[in-house]
Amino acid sequence: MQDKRQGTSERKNYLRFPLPTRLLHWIAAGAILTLLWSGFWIFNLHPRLYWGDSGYFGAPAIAELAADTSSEETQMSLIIGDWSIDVTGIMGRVNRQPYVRIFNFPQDFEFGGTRALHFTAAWILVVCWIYYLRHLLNSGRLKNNWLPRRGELSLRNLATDFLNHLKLRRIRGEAAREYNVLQKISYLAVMFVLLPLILLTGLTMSNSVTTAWPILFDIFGGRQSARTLHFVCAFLILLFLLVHVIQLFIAGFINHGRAMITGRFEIVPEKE
Amino acid sequence: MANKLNRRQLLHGMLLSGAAGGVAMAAAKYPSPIRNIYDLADAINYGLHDLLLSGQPLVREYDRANVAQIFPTSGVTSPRDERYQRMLANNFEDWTLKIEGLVDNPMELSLSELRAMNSQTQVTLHTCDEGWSAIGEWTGVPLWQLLQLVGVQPGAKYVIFHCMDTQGDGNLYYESIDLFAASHPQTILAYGLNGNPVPEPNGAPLRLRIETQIGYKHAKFVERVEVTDTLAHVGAGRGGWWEDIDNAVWYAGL
Repeated sequence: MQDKRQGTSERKNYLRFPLPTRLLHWIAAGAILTLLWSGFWIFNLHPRLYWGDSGYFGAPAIAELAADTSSEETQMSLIIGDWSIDVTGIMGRVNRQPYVRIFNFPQDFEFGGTRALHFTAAWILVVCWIYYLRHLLNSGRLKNNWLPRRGELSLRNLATDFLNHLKLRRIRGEAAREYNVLQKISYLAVMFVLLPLILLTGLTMSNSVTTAWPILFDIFGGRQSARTLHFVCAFLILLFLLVHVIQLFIAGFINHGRAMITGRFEIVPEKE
Repeated sequence: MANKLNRRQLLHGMLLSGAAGGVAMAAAKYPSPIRNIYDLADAINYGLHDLLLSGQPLVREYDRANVAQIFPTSGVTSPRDERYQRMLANNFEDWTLKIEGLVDNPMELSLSELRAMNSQTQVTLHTCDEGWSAIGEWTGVPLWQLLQLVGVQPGAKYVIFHCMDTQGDGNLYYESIDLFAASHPQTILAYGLNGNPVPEPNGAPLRLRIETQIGYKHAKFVERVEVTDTLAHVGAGRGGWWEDIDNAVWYAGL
């Protein structure tokens, strides 16, 4: 790295992401997209959410896509508790089964194959998570880059950072070397809260795992509660993904995108 | 420095080779050829879950008050086969269950003979791969008891359940589990649901309850139990109707 210590007025680049970070980032990205995609189709087969041990057509749901076939054209509505909205435009119906229409129902759709894909991608993500944790600890990235520093969690700093996000402000200069505090919190939340939670709620849907560890039922409140929490986690991960990509454009698509591919990140001087 | 690095690398290498060995063992144990990465993941789940369940722990049972009065269904709810409909109309008086294959004494049992055997009643949670689940009270004969009666021969590995309902593609439904799952204390061939005979939509007169696995394994309308050392000779050889046509995973503990 060439650092001639001539202040920040000169452009310079440095290795922002070492190879393990980049490799694991892209494998995880592929696995997560696959899981969201296959999970979406699995959800479509029974688009109702319940709380407790059991839940089925005929039992009350806490949220559902419901079909009303009394009129000529099937009316679809999304019902959450007492609240209901007509969604005929984005929902469809195949074999008496309501589903989310956003993508056309594939003619050669294999439900069994989709589940197989989901479990395979889950294994890849689990292995990836373990190696990423090892990398975070061994390289010091967890301590140096992810954990908020002293004072960073002050209300004043959180508020400043929040306002920076609202203003869609691009961070320049040496400050761009560090993650901001909200970024740190969101990475920690995905790595140490959402991913473990989505794995455990997924395992609570498994008959054999809950036979071996029935305590999972007690932790999550039953098989259907676990399923509901699983989809809530999936939704939050999707939300993270969207914000993550939007932030990439705000922070600089080329510079940050390149950093996650080649590792090199360029410090762009602050405007005068 | 080299030494310190080597110790860490050695440990990592040992863990990796252990994992690779485990995967190879799981793949060898899998009943069908491993065609792709999905089959490999299925084989890994099968191997790991067998370790998890090695003590044959019991599944949780529920309060009878929580049973679903009208038990939900999936798949065929009324076989269009004439032979089945005739037997249904006749209250399955002429129906028999055959147990055959790698057994010492093949048997054929009528419904009343099955009802006269030691029965077991369990209130369990049924989970469908579509996402729903429902509690039911099931009564039937433990499969291990039937297997003991016919005498399983050495070398047998799997139990195939042949059903009476023809599917959309013209093939009969069938499913299979390994002998270990078949010997689980709560694996029963059920003729009763919530105190009544199993209704037609739920698999009259006899259906499998394999409580450690998911819904499509619970073969309905069963008429023949085959003890075998291979799954290759039935259907497309993947061990079940959904496995054959839909690439469903054979190991259905999850």
